[in-house]
Amino acid sequence: MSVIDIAKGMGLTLGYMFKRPVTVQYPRDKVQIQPRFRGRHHLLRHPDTGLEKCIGCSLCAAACPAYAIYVEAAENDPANPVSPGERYAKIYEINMLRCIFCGFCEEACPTGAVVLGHEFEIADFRYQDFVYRKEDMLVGTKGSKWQRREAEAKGKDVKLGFEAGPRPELEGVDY
Amino acid sequence: MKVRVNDVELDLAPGTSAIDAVFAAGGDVPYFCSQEYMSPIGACRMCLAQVGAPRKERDGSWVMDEATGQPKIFWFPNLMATCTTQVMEGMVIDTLSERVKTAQNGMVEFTLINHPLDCPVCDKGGACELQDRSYEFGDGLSRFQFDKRHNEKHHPLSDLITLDRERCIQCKRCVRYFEEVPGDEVLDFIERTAHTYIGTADPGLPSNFTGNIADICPVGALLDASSRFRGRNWEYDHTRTTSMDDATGAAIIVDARTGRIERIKAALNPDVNKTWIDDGTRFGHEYADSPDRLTTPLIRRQGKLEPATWDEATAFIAERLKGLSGKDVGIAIRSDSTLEEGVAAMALAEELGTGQLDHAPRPAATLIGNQVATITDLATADAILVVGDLTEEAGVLDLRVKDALKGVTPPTLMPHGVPIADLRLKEHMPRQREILTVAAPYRVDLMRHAGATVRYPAGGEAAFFRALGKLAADANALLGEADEAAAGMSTGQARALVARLAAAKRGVIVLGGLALNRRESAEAARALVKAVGAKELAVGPMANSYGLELLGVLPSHERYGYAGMLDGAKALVLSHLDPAQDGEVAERLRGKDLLVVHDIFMTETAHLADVVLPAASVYERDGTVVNLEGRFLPVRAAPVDAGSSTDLTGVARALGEAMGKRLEGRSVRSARRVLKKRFDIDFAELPDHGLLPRAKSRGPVKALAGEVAAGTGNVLVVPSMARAEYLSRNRHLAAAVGGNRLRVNPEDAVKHNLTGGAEVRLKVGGTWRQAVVHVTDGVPRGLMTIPSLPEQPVGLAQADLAGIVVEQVRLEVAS
Amino acid sequence: MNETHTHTQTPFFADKQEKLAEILSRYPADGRRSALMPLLWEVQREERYVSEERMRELAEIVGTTATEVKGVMSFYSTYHDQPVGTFHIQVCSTLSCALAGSDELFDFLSNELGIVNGETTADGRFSLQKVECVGSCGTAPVVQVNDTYYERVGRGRCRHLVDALRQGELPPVWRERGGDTVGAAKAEPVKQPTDRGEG
Repeated sequence: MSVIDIAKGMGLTLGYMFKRPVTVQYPRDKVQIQPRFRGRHHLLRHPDTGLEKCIGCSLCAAACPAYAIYVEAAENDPANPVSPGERYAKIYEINMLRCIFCGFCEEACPTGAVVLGHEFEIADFRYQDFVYRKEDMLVGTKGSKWQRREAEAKGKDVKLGFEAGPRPELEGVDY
Repeated sequence: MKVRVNDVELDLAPGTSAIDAVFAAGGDVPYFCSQEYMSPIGACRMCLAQVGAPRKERDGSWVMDEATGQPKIFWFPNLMATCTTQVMEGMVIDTLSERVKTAQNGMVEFTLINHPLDCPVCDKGGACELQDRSYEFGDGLSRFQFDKRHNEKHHPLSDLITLDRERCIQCKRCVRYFEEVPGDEVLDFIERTAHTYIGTADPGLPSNFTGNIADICPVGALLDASSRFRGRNWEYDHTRTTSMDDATGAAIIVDARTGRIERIKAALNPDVNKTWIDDGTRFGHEYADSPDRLTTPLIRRQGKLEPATWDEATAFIAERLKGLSGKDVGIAIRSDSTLEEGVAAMALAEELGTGQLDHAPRPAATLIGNQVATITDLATADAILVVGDLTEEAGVLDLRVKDALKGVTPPTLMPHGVPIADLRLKEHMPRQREILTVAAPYRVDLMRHAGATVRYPAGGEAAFFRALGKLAADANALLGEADEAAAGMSTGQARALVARLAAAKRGVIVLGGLALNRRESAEAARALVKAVGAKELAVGPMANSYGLELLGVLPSHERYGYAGMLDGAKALVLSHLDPAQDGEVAERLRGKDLLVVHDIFMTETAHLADVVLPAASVYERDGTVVNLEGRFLPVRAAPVDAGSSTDLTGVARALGEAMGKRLEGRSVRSARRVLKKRFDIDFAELPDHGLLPRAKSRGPVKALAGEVAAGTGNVLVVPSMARAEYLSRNRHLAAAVGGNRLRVNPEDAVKHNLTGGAEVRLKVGGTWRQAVVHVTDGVPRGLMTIPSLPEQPVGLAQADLAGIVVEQVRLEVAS
Repeated sequence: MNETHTHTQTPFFADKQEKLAEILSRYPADGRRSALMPLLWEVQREERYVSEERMRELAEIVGTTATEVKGVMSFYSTYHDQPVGTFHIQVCSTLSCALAGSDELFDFLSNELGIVNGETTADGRFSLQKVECVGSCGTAPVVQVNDTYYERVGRGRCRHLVDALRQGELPPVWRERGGDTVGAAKAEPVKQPTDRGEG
C-alpha cells in the first residue's frame, strides 16, 4: 500500500467532513418520522361524544399474528356508557414485547379504534410493564409507561424522549 | 327411489325431502329455517333449487324424450324450496345452475335488508349461519339504500335469554321449537309483515327448556344471557363431553376461555338427547368458576386449616393412617364420580383392607333392573307410566316422552347425519296424550301433557304400585276404599291404566327417585313391570349412579354403607359429600380420628376436616359415566383453571405415593386398564355417542342399601334440575328459578303465617335449609316441597314447621 | 322449575256458557283452537278490546297459551289489546294505498286529530292506526272506520269524513264502481253503514 492510497482514503474521509451527515445525535436530535410509521398503539375516542371507539369485538386479537392482544368485553351501562352501543372493552391489553407492529389490528378494527402512533420509546425494566392496558393507550395519554411512572415519582410533567407532533388523524376517522 | 342430484344418482327412501337428497349426494344448499328434529316449513326460501320430474302417460308408461330415449324431465316452472319438497321417482334436482345461484344471491340480499350487520358486537359472530351463508352464497352487495328497521336491541325474554329484535330474520325456528319439542307455546310472532317480531305474553318464558333456542337461532337474535359478551366464538375451547347434571347423560359442548367456563351448548347424541338439553344443565355451570373454589390442599395445624402442598397433605394422611387399622377407615364418593374415580376409590379401599366403601346418594333399590328400557324405547313407547317429577329429575327424558306422544319414530340417520328436513314432522301435530300417565304426590310439569294423572298421597308410592299390581294379577279385583285413597285413584282408573300397560307392545314404566328410595315401593313397581310385561327405566339420583353400582363401589355389608360409616368408622375419606350440614352428624364427625374431605368448596364438612383436598368439578374430569339406560358415555375435561385440584384418581396417585404403593386407579389410564378387564370395552376410544353393551355384561349386583328416605314426614324433598347445593353460586339460574323454592299450599301458608316471596330458614331432617316461600295450589294441603340436596335424597322428611325462621319478607312481584 | 299463572278477574264467559258452547260446537273437538277468532270477537264486541287477562282466559278455553292468542290478535288489525276510541280510524299503508298517497292521508289525519299512530284522543272519541292491507287495493287509498270502508279517500273526502265523525256519526259510504270512467264527482251515497263484524 502506497502513501498515495492512504492519502486517497483520507481525502475521502476529509471530503465527508464537509458534507451534511445522514445520522442524527439521538436522543438529542430527532429524525423526521414518516406519517405512516407504526409505533405504540393508541385507542381512540369519538371526538364529539368522548366515548371510546373500541367496542370490544376482539377482531384485532383475531388478526394479530403474534397473539399479543387480549380483549374482554362487557355490557355498557345505558346511563353511563363507555362506548356507543351495547358492548365495550372491559379489558384491553397489548403485550408490547410480543407485538411486531405490523398494523393488522388497525386494519381489522371495524370502528377505527386502534391505530399505531409515532411513539417508539417504550423500553422498560420488567416484563409485566410491557403489557399495556387500556389506560396506557387511550388517546390523550402521554408517554410510555415508564415515562409516566417517572413523572409521577418526581411530581413533574411527562418528559418525552421523543416528542411526536400533533396528530389530527388520530383524533377520529370520519365514517 | 331413484333421484338425480347434479348428475349424482341416488337411491333414497320414499318420503325423503329434496334438501336431504342434495346433502346425501354431497351437494350443498343454504338454509335457515330447517332444523334437525323439527318440522320443515319453507319459511326462509333460501334452499331454492331447480326441480324436475318425469311424467306418466295415461297407461302408466313414462313420457319419453324422443331425442334421448329417456323419460322426459318436466321442470317445475318456479324454483322449489327443497326442504318442503318430497322426492319422487326419477326426480332431478339441480342446485348449481345460474338461475339457482341468482335466486340464492337475491335471497341473501333480501334477508339482509333489515339485518343490522352488527357482527362485531354480536355473540353469534363467527358461528353465525347467516354470516356464513352470506359469504358463501351472497355477492356482498346490497341495493337497499333506505333506513333499516329499528327495534329493541336488548330485550330480556327471561333471566336466561336475551332477544335482539333487529337481528331476527323470522325463520320461526324458536317458535316451532317451543310448540314441537317441549310443547310450551311461549313464543310467537307478533304483528305482521316487516313489523313482525318475536314476542311473548308469558313473561319469563315459563318452560324448562328455553336455552335450546339460543343454539338453534341461525342469527344472533336469541342469545344465552349468562355468556353475554364473554368471548367470541373462535376464542372458546370447545370440549365435547357428557353432562353430569342428571342421570340421562346428555351430550354437551363446554366452551371455556382463559380457564373459565363461559357457556354450555347442547351437542348431538341421536340416541340420548338428540340436540336438546334442559336449562339446569345449560345454565348450571357458573359455580365451577366461583372465586371461592378450593385450589390448594389444607391441613389442620394447631386447630386451624392452613394451605399446604399435595406432598405435605398426602404425607400427613399416610402418617395418620399408619396409626389406624385399615378396617376402621370409611371411603365414600358422590354418585357423580366417574367410573375411573370409582376404580380409584375401590383400589384405595382394597389397599386399606376396608369394606366400608360406598357411593352416595344411593337409592334403597337397585337401579339395574331386569328389563331396562333404553331412551329410544321410551321415545317409541305406546304406553308410558311416569312416577315422579321427570322434568326436574331428568329433563331430557321429559322431552323424549313428548316424542313418544307424537308417535313419530326417530329418523334414520343419513350419510350427512340427522335429516335436515323430516317431512313426517308437522307444526301443531296431534299428540297421543292418552298413552301417557303421570303419577306424583304434587303437581308436576309433565302432567300438562298427560292423558291421565294421579296424585297419590305423599309417601304412597308403594300403595300406588301395589294397587296396580293387584289389578294386573286379577283384572276383576276391586280396590277397597282405603286402598283407593292410598293409591290416589279409583278402581276404574287403575284398571284402565293396567289394561293400557298390559295391552301395549312397548310399554315403559319410568321410576323416579320417589319410587326408588323406598325398598317396598321399588319392589312393588318391579312386580308391576313384570306383571304387565313392560320395560322399566329407573332414574338414578346422579349422573353415574348406575355406573358405580355396576362397577361395585359398594360396602361389603349393609351396615358399612354410607350412613353406617358416618357412625362407625374411625376415619373417613369423603369425596364431594357434605354430611355435616346435618348438625347431629357434624357432632359425630368431630369425634373422628381422621377426616379427609375432597371437595370443590369449603363445605360444612370441610370445616371439620383434618385434611381438605381440592377437587375437580364435574367439568374438569376425564372419565366415563354410565347413564340410566346403561350406556357408557365419555366425559372429557374442559380447560378450567382451578389451581392444583384434581379428581379422585389424582388423590389415589398422591396418596399411594405417600404410602409407597402404586394403586390401580392412580391415573385415568391405569383405571381404564382395570375397567377394560371388567367390561371388555376400550374406554380411551369410546365414541361420542357412547356404547350400549348388550345386557349380558351386567354381572350379578349386590344391592345393599339402607332406606335413605323416611316413610313419613311433613315435607317432601323433591328433585330439581337446578341443583340446590350450587344454586347460590349460579347467579343467572338462581334468578330464573327464584331461588330454592319451598312450595306451600295456600291454606298451609295462612296456617304457618308464610307469605309468598319470604326468605325463610327451616330445619328439614336435621339440616338447616334456606328457601324462598312459593305459595301454590300445586302441592296438596299438609305438604310442602323443597328441592333436594345430595345429602337429602328425594322423599319425605320431617321438618320443624313451628321453628321456621322468616329472614326477610319480600312481596312476590305479580307478573 | 317454572309455574303457570293464576286468574284474578271474573272470567268473561262465566255467565255466557251457552254462547261459549255454541261457538265451540262449530269446530271439531280436536280443532278447538279454531274457535279462537270468534271468541276474540265476542270479547271485543263487549269490552271494546281484549285485555291480557282475557287472552289468558281464552288461551285456556281453546287449549293454547296467551302468547299464541297475542300472536293471532296482533296479526289482525281488527283486534285491539288496548281500548280504542269510539271511532277507530285505520289507514291502509300497504303498496297500492301507499302509491295512491296513504302516507299523506295519514299525516293529514294525524295533524287533524292531533294524535300519532296507535294513539287515542284524550276525549276517547278517535283513535288512529296504520294498518296493513285491508283488501281493497282496487279503490286505494282506503280508510276503515270501525267496520266501514271509505274508499278512494282524497283530501276533500277525508275532511268530509272527519267533519262527519266529529258530529258523532259515520257518514254514508260512497260506492266506487271502479275504473277511470267514474270520477270522484260521480260517487254517490248508497246506503247507511252496517256492522260488518258478524261472523
